[in-house]
Amino acid sequence: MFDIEPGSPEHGVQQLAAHVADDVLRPRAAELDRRGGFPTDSLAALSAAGLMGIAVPRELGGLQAGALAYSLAVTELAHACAATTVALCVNNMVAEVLAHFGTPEQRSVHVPKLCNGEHVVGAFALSEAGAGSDPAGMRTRARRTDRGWVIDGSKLWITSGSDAGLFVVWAKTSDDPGTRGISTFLVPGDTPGLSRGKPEHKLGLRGSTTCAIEFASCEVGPDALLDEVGRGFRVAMMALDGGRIGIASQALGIGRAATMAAAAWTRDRYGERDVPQGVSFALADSAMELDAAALLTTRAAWLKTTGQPFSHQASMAKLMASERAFAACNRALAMMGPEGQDCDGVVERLFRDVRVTMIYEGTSEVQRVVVSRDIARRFEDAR
Amino acid sequence: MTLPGIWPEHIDALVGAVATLGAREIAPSAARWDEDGLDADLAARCADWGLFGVSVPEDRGGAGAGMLGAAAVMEELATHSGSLAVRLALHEGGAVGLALGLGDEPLLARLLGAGVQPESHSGATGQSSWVGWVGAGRGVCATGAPGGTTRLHGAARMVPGDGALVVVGREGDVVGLVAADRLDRRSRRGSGLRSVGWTDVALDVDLPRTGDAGLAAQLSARVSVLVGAVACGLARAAITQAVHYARVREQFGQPIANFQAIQWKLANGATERDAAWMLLVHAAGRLDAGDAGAHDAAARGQLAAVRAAVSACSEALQIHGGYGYTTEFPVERLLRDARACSAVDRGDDALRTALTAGIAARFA
Repeated sequence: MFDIEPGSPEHGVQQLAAHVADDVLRPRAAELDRRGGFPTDSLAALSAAGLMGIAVPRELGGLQAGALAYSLAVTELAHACAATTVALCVNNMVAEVLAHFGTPEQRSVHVPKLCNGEHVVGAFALSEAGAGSDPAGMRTRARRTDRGWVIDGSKLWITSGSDAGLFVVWAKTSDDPGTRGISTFLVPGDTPGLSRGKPEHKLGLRGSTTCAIEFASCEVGPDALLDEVGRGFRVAMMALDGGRIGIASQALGIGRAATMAAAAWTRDRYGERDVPQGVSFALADSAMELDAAALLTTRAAWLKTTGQPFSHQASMAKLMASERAFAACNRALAMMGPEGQDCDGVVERLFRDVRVTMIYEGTSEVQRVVVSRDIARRFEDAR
Repeated sequence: MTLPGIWPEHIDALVGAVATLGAREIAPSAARWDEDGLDADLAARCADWGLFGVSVPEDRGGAGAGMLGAAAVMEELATHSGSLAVRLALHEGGAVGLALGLGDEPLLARLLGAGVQPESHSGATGQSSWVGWVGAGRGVCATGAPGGTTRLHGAARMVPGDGALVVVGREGDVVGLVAADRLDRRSRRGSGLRSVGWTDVALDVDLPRTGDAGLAAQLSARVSVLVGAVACGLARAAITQAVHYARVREQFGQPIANFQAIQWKLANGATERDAAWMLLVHAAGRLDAGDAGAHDAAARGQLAAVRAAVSACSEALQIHGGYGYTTEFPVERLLRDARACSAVDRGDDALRTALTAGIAARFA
């Protein structure tokens, strides 16, 4: 079904990501977690390596390597530093959204800057205080004027909000009920009326900033509209479908890192002696579950790469990968006991970092809704 | 959360008083303690509040509530601050239990802070300084003959005080109080837990020490019951937070509490937490009755409680969605504290291993 043979483009991108992970991300990960902040230098290195637009067409500055290469790269990077990787994931998602829905001018102006780091990173401004899993509760509004649009409202939990150079923003442009009447806008980070809140203090991913973004009479031109008026929900859902492959891959990287750390601990602790089944079986479960999740993720990425529908497959991948990665980190901590809890150790950080993969870009509950709706359709068709 | 009408009234009254104290004096500082560590004078304040020696008979300076009362108090305290509760649990279970077991009244008086004026509590070596506990955990090995020199190997996670640590060797037959200033400590953020490590360090033991395996098992059971009680308190706090949040958080036009997926998370969490609490109550009762076999019951209770707590706290965080991942709500701290409970004294694996022999005997 899919081929990741040595020498393939996907394998090449995976190897490139592994090198950057080892050389740049991994040595900085613990310190980044301790002091918090934004990984500006690491993201610049990722831009220089071409990893900020992995599935973006070459003519727009990307690698044009497809979703499978993207998934493999994200897994390698998250294995080293999940916090830096989430900024990369969102940037790739924003760049792909623009490459897909943007006008030729929007594409040529913004996408290369997202890939080469000129925009620093892109941000995805969908969630609001009252609209997390349910975008229909959105209150941010965009009003059409003679000169374009004026946006008012506030967004919450915006990854990289502190430093992003470009925001993709969703706002209501009509009073149509539900998700109708939502439109999408491109808002440069220096637009007057856009202000950034203080980064949230979080359980994990402390090297990734998460901010509220306020729009107060924020005026943008007519060229800021992405896709058609009232089609924003479709844009968001398509972006999130792809984004879920990224988060599944991120979770896989974190889960594998925890399992590898637990395996190394097991070697150190037991040496040549027999490893108790309580330990060896736990490692076996983690390895098996993460491999199964990796295959689901690879399937979704391969479907996307080959232009086939992949929405519920991406939800399955994210659901499985995030929950099994959390279980793997939890097992590693339980297995390693006091040594796992040590804040200087990597597993304690991985446990904190992985938890959010069950929440952002659609909670596990939202993924179950997506998957269950598809199952209902499939069984209906089969009757 | 005691059992009105079933438990002695004085325990209900004690827990009620602790709940009032917790809401007024402890909960407001819990987030700060999580970030910066417990206040230097908190041990003295705990002594003044009567939180040392809950399990100790009244005629020996305690509250006379036994292990049942101590478990109920730790469970309640944990709903206000897991960091403080786990410290008190280890102090009460390990150090106070050691003094009770040895019949060492001067040591007991010192551990309860009895007769010490508040102003003398200040300073790292004050009489009310914390005394922690090192169980027979993984990586911990203490060897040496009673009265001689103890050699410690390995490293452990526990809550050390400024004064001393109770050490139980891996074989379960060495119990002693060791001066903590001889240990290499690394501070850590969160949970009030600290790492204590040593590698083949020789320590001169000049405090009471015994090779009594029975006492070691008893102390271990006390610690299990009280750490398990802390876990149950964390689970209760998380479920309480989640219930409140689910009632007010609206998505898709209604409170998320209306969704079955949310209801089942809460139902599972409450059931698992209550089942663990019943195991702990049973174990505490057996300890109070002097049952030599209580250590198995205590291990079962701790194992169930920590698992229930991690699960309940994780699901509570999930119910909070993105808010739960931020420090704006306490559920992320509750999850960290619950997970850390498995690294205090015996972890899940060690508890299961400890239970194996008893199960084989029961079901043979």
